[in-house]
Amino acid sequence: MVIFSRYTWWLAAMAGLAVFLTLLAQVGALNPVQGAFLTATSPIERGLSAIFRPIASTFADAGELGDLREENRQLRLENESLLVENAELRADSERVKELEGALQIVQADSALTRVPANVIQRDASPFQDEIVIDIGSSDGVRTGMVVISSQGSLMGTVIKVLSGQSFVRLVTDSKSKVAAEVQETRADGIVKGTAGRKLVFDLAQADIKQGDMIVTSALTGRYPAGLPIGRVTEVGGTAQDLFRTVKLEPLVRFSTATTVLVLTSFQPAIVTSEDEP
Amino acid sequence: MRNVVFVVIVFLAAAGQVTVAPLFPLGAAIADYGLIAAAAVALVAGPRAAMVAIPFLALFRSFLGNDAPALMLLAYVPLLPLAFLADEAPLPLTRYLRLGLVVIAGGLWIRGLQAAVAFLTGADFAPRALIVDLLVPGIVFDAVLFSMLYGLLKLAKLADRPLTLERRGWAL
Repeated sequence: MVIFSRYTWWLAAMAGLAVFLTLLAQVGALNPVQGAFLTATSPIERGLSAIFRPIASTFADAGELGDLREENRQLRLENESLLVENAELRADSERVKELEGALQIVQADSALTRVPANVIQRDASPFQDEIVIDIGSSDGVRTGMVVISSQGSLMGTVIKVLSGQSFVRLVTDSKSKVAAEVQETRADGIVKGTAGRKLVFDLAQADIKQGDMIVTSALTGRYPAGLPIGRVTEVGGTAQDLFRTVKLEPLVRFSTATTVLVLTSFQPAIVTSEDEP
Repeated sequence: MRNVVFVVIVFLAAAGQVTVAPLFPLGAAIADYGLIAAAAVALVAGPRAAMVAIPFLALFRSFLGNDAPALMLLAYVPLLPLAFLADEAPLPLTRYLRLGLVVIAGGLWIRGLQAAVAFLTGADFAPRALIVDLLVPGIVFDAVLFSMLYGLLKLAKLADRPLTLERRGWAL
């Protein structure tokens, strides 16, 4: 085979390099190098993002103009009803405070500590959807921590931490599996990413309809309960089917998200490299 | 010095892969800028320059994308032997078509490899999605970008290097 005779030394060198790098990666010796590389090159990546992100947003918005008009109309209606609901809740909240004061209940601060981070880059290889954020172990980030959007919906989980950067597996990654429930009915299931970086919801025999909100469940201890994930856009099959095909629309547009929040105060129950429920 | 320029080019391709490419998907698929950059280096400077650039490309992609370095080497290293085969094959094809075949085969190989790793590490086995959503649009995207780049390099008279590795010396 002439091809191998001419490339023998190079192919052998590449095989040797692959083995050497694998050994370095196994003992963690590549992490500092990777961290330094990401730190040194992040200005270039930020520059590329700054140039191309607005262009991509313009293209995406232009393509969705019709949908945006309809969405805007619906949001106006939804906003109006939410304003009414908000006013009612404020009144209820005041009433609860009065009652708590009367009963001398000291409510623990359940608010989760959120650390903001910038998205440096996104790796959207086949079956993979990860982002790199510009905070790491020196900022208190640990593997398994939950990452949400600036509006509070679930984005993903930290899977690798360097000193100044962290890799986050998004919920749309095909390896991501999140314990979740239908907000309205409390029926639980699993939100999974797909090959095409979309979301599906696996649930067993429960009523579900288009527009239902899917939120995280505290069932596995990996996510705080109640973080919004997405809305149901399509329900396949019938109520008699054991498993129905439920497609979700994420609440956040992952491709153009620039800022995320890491829930540093939430400690997941179990942390492994794989995000299984 | 020339090799340094090519290493910078493959770095920009790797950086573009994680910053620019996800912003412009074709359906669910995105182009592989690293593959196009490696093909461009081979076209402009021949296989010896590509021999230097490809391991750097694999390393950059690995660091930027959190993939195993060995996996990225395994993904990109076969491009040169493929180019050699395409150049030597007794087929009635133009140079553009020969290299186009290399880009298509390379795109299939890289994406197939990444998908196989994903299946083995926890992703649901989804062959239909792999073919329909990722492989087909992905290689079409690669082929379009490669064709545009080839046209530009041809116009600039920079696309005339043979891809066959000579046995003698290091002269480029």
